[in-house]
Amino acid sequence: MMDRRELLHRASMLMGGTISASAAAGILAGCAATPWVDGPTPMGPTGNFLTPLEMATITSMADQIIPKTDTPGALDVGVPAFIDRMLAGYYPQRERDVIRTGLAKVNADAKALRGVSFSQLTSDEQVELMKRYDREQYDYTRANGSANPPVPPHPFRLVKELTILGFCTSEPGATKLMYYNQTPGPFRGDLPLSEVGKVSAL
Amino acid sequence: MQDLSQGTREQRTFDAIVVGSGIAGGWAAKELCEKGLKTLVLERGRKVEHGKDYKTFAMNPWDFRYPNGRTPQDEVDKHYPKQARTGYTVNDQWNHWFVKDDEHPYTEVNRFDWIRGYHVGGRSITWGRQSYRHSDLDFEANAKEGVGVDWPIRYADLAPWYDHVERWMGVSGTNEGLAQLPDGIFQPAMEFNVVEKSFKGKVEGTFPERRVTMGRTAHLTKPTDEQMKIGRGTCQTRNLCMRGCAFGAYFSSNGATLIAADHTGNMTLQPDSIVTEVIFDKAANKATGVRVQDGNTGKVTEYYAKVIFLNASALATTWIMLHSKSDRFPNGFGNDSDELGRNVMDHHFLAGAQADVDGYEDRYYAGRRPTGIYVPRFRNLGDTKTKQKDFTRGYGYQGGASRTGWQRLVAEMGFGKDLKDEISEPGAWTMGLTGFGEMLPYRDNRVWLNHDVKDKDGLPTLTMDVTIRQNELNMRKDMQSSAVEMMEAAGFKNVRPYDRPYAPGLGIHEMGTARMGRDPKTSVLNAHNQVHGCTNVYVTDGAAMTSAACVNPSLTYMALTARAADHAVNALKRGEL
Repeated sequence: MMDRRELLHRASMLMGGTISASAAAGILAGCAATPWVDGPTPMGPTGNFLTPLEMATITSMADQIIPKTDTPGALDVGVPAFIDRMLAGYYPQRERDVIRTGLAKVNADAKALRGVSFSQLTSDEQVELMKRYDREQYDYTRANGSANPPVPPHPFRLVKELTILGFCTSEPGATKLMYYNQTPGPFRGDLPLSEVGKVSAL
Repeated sequence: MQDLSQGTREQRTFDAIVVGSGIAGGWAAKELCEKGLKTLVLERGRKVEHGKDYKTFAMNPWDFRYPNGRTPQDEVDKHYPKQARTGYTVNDQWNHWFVKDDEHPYTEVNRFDWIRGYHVGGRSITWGRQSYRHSDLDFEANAKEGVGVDWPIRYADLAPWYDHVERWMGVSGTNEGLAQLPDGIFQPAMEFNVVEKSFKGKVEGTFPERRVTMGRTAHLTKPTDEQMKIGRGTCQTRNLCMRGCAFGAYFSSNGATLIAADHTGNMTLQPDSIVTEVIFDKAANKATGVRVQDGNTGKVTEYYAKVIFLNASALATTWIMLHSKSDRFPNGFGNDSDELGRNVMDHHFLAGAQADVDGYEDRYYAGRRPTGIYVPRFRNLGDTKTKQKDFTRGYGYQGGASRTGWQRLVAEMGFGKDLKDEISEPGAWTMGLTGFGEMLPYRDNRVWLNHDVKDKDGLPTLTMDVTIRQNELNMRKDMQSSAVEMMEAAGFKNVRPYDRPYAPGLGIHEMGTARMGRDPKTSVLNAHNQVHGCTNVYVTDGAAMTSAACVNPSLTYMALTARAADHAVNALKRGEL
């Protein structure tokens, strides 16, 4: 069964305990992401969950995770609003709490470092802090990824995961950075990568 | 459409009634209508029009309220706690094809996954489309081993009907000349990718009794004129099949059999019609019709016919029969043997191996192939070489290789421009195999009516008590170790066996609860799928299965249905029904 096979295939990537339980649930539910262009969307522009300070923090982080280059970045496709909407409507309370507590800590760290909020740090300072969080989340996820019952995700892991998810399932992310074709035609099983060019978005 | 429930008895009388519009009911409808019978098809769920009602068909990942159709956890918990157990069925892309558990409850003595949808087309919209024949190894196994009861038919009885069904529905695949997996009538198989080609070469070179073939799948790769005439086209490899396919490229009732049945002018298709009972006439020793409760109004109406096909799906057909009590059949319709509701089977799976594959970084594929590779059964084939000490029967593998996509980046360290660059690149190749194993019929694996728990229509529900046993557990060990040895023979890296939690029903192949057999004392149906003791009722869905074999079962339901429809029409002509 296609879907079962795909599930299994994806499950293989979960088995090393390298992915958070919430991400696993999402991926098993059929990952690939959504459009989060700011402005009216089926869900409205935001979920009104994040406070202005939290939103500013998420915005800076998302910008660092997938920056604008010669192609659109996380902010161009509306990732902060997407994250807000996911927290408001998709995730259960546990994930909301993880983010809220995590962002408070990020701003406390920024304050301790420079006496300002995270979004007011210089880009280099933001990167430095985020590298620390990235290492933490990586180690935490490795240690706890296969825990049963599942442990809450690391907050930075959740921010990073949502940024990648929101970006890669947005129309610009899927169509400009990847090969997106909903109706590819007959399957060609073995081609030089150069003939396709980029990874399939779906 | 005219409201038949207001009609006279004559208007409510047909030559044939088909209960259910899924993969078996669709075939019954087509065959009976094409043979000239005025046929009423009753579907308990809502109407679904091919194409028009596939509401998510053309949606992009960004068109859904959450990415790619993800359903929020609180909705899953409220409406789909059981339907979501597969990990893939509950998603806004297709959760309208699945029942809400809060509306359609059932009770589990042991965990049992009953994953289903109530609508025209049933699970023919969401099925896995893998299509394999049973062989005589399967038809003879029960008798040889003294397990369950003997099938009353052999491969030769069904072979022409497999031909008939495959030719008309369209199955892509390759003939392999294997006794345990009979050849068929195939359209061109889908292509292997570079890693699968290598795997095939290495495995077949190392293990002469093992074969790696392309999944035989009910997708059109070279449609016939007959298929195109009813609006079906070539598979576009979207691999979004569960949304419904407006191209009619994979086989479904909606896109094929119901269209053909409708074209005859002989079909009346009535949705929102819950069949609650088969009406039995003791004096005539026949069923005269069925009692139907309207799914919207609750109004009860009777419909009459000379012949009735029960194709509601294994457990739902069993529910109807258990719920049809009469002086003649006090324990449920056709249940003289007390086998009705027993011998529940499924295919146990989710045991196998995964591996990483080095190299081939300059190779890729285009399109999303809606099938995988298949390794036909290679255990217990009747010779000493393949005989296993600690389990009987066997399993086949389904699997495939692919390159990872952007999802892999979530698990890796790093962010910024480097991460962004990686989004566009395919990741490394990985490969997975899962065994689909035969589950034996155990008499105490059973379902029964539960009058204490009612569904949203006020009707009693089912309780399931089904478990896998030692034979299946032993087989699962072999499903892992054989997968590991093939992956290692192929030179793959980081080969990891796995055995993930499986509960009966998770394979969505539930079957066996009104089995065919030679003796009315130990079976519910005869060799033509007629109910013992009431021969104008045929059961040709999964309930009829005497053993499960290890292959996906739908093709066999379809072949049994076409064969039984032919029998019914001839028997009617002879005045036997």
